[in-house]
Amino acid sequence: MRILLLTLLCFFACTSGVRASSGYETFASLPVLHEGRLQPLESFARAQLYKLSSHTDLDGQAADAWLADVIFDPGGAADKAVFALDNEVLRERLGIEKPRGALYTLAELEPLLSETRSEIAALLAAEEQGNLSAAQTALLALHEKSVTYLKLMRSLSLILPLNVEVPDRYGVTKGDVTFLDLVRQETRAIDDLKSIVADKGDDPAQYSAQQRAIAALAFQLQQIRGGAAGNALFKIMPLSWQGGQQVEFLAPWELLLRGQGSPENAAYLKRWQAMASAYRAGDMNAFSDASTAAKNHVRQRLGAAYPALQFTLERIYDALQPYNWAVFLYAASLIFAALYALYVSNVWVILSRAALAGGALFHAGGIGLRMAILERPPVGTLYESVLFVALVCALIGLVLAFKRGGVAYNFAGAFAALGLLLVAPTIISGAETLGVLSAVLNTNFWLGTHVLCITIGYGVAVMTALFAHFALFTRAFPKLLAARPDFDKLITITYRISLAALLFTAVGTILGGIWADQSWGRFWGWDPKENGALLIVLWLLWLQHGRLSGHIKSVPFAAGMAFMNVILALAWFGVNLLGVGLHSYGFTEGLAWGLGLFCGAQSLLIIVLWGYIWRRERSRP
Amino acid sequence: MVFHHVMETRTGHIKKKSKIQTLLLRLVRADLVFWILPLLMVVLVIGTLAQAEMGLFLAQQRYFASWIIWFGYLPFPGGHLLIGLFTLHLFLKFIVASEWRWVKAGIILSHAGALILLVGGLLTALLAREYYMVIPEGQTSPFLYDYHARELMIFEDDRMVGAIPFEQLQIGDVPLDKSFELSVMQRCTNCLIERREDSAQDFGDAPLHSMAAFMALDSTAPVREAEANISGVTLQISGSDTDGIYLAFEAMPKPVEFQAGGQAYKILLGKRQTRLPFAIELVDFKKESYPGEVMARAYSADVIVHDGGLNWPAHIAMNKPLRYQGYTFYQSAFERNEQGEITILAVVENKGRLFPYIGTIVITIGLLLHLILVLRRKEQT
Amino acid sequence: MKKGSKRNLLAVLSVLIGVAIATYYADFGQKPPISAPAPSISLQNAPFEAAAAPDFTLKDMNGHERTLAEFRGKFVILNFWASWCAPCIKEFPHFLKIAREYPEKLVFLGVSSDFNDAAMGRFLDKMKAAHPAAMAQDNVVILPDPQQKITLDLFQTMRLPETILIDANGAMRDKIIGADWDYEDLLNKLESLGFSK
Repeated sequence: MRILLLTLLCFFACTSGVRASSGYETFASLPVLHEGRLQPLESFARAQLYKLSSHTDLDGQAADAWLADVIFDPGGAADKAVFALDNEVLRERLGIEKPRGALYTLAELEPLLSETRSEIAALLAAEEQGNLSAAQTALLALHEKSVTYLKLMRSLSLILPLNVEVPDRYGVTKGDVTFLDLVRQETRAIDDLKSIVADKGDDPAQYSAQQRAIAALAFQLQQIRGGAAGNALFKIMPLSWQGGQQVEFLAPWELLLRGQGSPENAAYLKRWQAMASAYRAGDMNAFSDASTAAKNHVRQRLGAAYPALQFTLERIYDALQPYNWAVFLYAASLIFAALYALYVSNVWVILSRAALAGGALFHAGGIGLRMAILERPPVGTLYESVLFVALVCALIGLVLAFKRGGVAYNFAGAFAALGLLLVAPTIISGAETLGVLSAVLNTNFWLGTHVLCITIGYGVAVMTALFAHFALFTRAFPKLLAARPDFDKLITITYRISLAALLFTAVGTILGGIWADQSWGRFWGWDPKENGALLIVLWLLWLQHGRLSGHIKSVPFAAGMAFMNVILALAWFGVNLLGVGLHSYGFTEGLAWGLGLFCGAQSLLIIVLWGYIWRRERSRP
Repeated sequence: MVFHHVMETRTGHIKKKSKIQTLLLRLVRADLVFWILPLLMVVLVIGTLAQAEMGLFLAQQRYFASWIIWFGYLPFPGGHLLIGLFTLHLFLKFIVASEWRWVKAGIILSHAGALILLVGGLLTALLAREYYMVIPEGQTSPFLYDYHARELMIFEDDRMVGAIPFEQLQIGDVPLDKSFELSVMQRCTNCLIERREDSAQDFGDAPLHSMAAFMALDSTAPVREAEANISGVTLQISGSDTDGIYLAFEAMPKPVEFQAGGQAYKILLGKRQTRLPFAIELVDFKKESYPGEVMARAYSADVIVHDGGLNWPAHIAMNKPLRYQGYTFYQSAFERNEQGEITILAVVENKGRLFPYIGTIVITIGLLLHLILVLRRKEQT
Repeated sequence: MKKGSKRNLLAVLSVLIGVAIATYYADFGQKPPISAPAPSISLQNAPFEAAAAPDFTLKDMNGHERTLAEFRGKFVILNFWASWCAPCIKEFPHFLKIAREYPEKLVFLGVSSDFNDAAMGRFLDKMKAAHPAAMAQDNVVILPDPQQKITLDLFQTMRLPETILIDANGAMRDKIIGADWDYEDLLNKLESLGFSK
């Protein structure tokens, strides 16, 4: 048993961060501006790799190593398997046999991409209307991915050696020539080409070798420049001509094409060139040295604006993968709790609690790191709300377990936390990116009060629903569990927790109203998200009042509280699917199916249990 | 229930209750809540789903702000009815059945707070007005625009002499006390502008003036966001110097212009305007973006309020509105054109706006009190 | 009515009246809130810290080696141009004019990327013919840079024209991209950087 645990632990430790081998350390911590936030290159690499392949590492190669390959050695990039293609229709259309889950190279996808390039404009127009089939959406996504990949490949094409023949008359030293070396000859080459064409016409077959070389050079330079237009993805060059704490970063091509070059950036770009040559030569020591020189340069440039602490925290966050640990430990807690149900022994209780506590620690650590990195309260996006609710559930389970003993609270907490953590990544379609917030959300006070209060309320509501399920199970199958929990006691516990849920959701909803009044001028606007929150409050109120006044007996009460899960899911996620109202800033892809499935399964379960209980008790004298 | 208890011990026998008393009694009982809440939840769900179809404004009118909802021939209590009953219940309960005992104090106070919230909601529903203002940088405006109500404005020598609400512009003559006559030939809540050649409209011999010569208005389905509809009418003017067919629609580049009885007239169709007792000047609009991104981080507007002799500066930002003379100005949106930036402010006038805050405070006190009392009771037992 | 009920009714009424008074006061009783426009804490408005211009050496039209450092103490307009660049040609006379106006306080350094000496020579001759006095002044210095060692390698200028304004202490204060400005704009810019007429 212990050996199994140890191996499991090792497994997770090993996969939970395919760490870059030495040499990439400094490279991974160079600053890149992406999606409004300055972040370490490693985070950027993971985000891009995830976008293309739905993984954060490739067969043991960490994201930063992958990115280094793409930007420093773009020649081979077209043959690297990095694109995920899951849509069946597209796979068939492509016609290449690959096992499900295998990745495609750009070269393999090229025929499909060129064939469908003309359809893009029409597809984009249809997307506005919202009438796209799954295959069409996947096709658009594929095109977008290929453009991203090309942009990455071309990010440093300014400073990488070109495979081009340089006519002697331009006096360029032989050896590795880059675009920057050659661009100074561009005007001259174009001039020369004009006179060649005037002299010998358009047909290259008529030209001499030198003249062909001139034509080729002019053409290639223009190709490269054309391919670089609009390439603003890899923003590594800090702007020199701007003041302020917030330094703007531009991509290398972007920098030069917009005339934002400076002596300082010329020097910084040379450092990247040094990194490139070292990397291409395979000299990891030189690469590491060059990376260090680059990092020192940019640190000096940014001065106080260099977010040293945030970067360190972000590296730790990326390396630690706290949520993987949390998931693992929650799962372990569940297994231990289940074992207790079979072999009643104190060992399992202690282990179960320890695992839950450990999981909660990693979980809270992860959320804490996010707060420190982004410098805002923990819940700003839908994804973050799921993370937070999971933590609330785990903590409630833990606290109640310590206060009241037994394993039931443990189990409930771990179950809820685990379930939510597993659901969370499916909600967003990017990698778990640390994103910035839109203007109306950008207020730490309300994020810290209203949003936090409501999410705590959701967490308590989830636990209420779980206990209600537990009560129903106990009533339906009283002989199942060795510990024989008391149904009435469970109902009382459910009732009490539901009071706490009411407190937090009601207060949270009211705070939301106040925030809306401050922001938009009305306390209540019948917005879908507001309605959802109100629905939860009313549902709780109704069941509680019904129980107090005797209208709702214990079993229907339990069924009603169990059904709260469905209401919660609809209020929390479902409203984003409607796509109307001031609150639609959540992410919605792939949500509908999961939501429908969950609500259907949950409702079915409750109906079955209730029906079973009713039938059994009806037949009793 | 406290009330019954009191009644029975006070009097030896059951008094004969009047009809009103019976009704009031019924309203005070807790199980009213038991019946109202599920109905309210049903309305909530159906109304929210309907919003995806018909937009927030219409769904709100039909489901949440109505007294009866008609599903075909089936009546169903509407949002206002249910919430009204609930408020009445809370009110009567508070007046009649809330004996002040420490045990219940927290709960009573919370209910009172909820009552205050609901009363505030009632007042808001009755009294609140929402408008918007459009102010380009460097300019001053005293005008509030209604989000939904449109009207036909008539200017005589650049003075507004009449404003006819769009709903009142039905096909036929428009009663006017002027030297010319106005007749509505065609109207559309949401108009599609097509070329005159493609239109099937036939106005006989009447000459087509200005835009009407090459454009025609055709009715089309209203869009989900009611504010975005482009309303319009096709008018026939007679008794002027240039009789004939004219078009008037929202955001028309040029107003309808003609002379009649020696005076110059302009006709414009647009969102209803109200004039503030003061004016606001936009000095500077700032949009702060995240570095390298187009996504906005914060919006704010530096304005100057011109009120009679007073001119004073103010700053309106997201989550930080300007409150003055009963109006609250929120930074809502902005536009940019060749001349510069234009701020769009949402303006709310609501006499009941303090109630949510008072209600919240009372609820909070009530809940805290209840919590403290419950904990103290637990300690004692 | 029961005593408790009367008290409660009174409570409700007093709350309503209280709120009404508070609302009235909030609407009309207060003086206009004098709020100074919040100092734009916009981080982007923190002052720009100019970097020192790197020194460089180029041979001028007479073959003499010139360095940037020798012009310390005067404002330097460092302009990257070429005779095949139309906007460069358009703005050139403005630089000559301003150099003519302020011979003691300002220097115009025109670094040319021309690879064709003849073309550059023809252009300069045209300028000499049109603005003989300016071109003859010693604060107008033309520096050929056919290999773009200074233009591209040092200053990272890829597209022409670009102009860097360097103050008397040798700090690069501003960069003008393209030629979308006129003489007044240039003078205003210089003055905002501390250039005194």
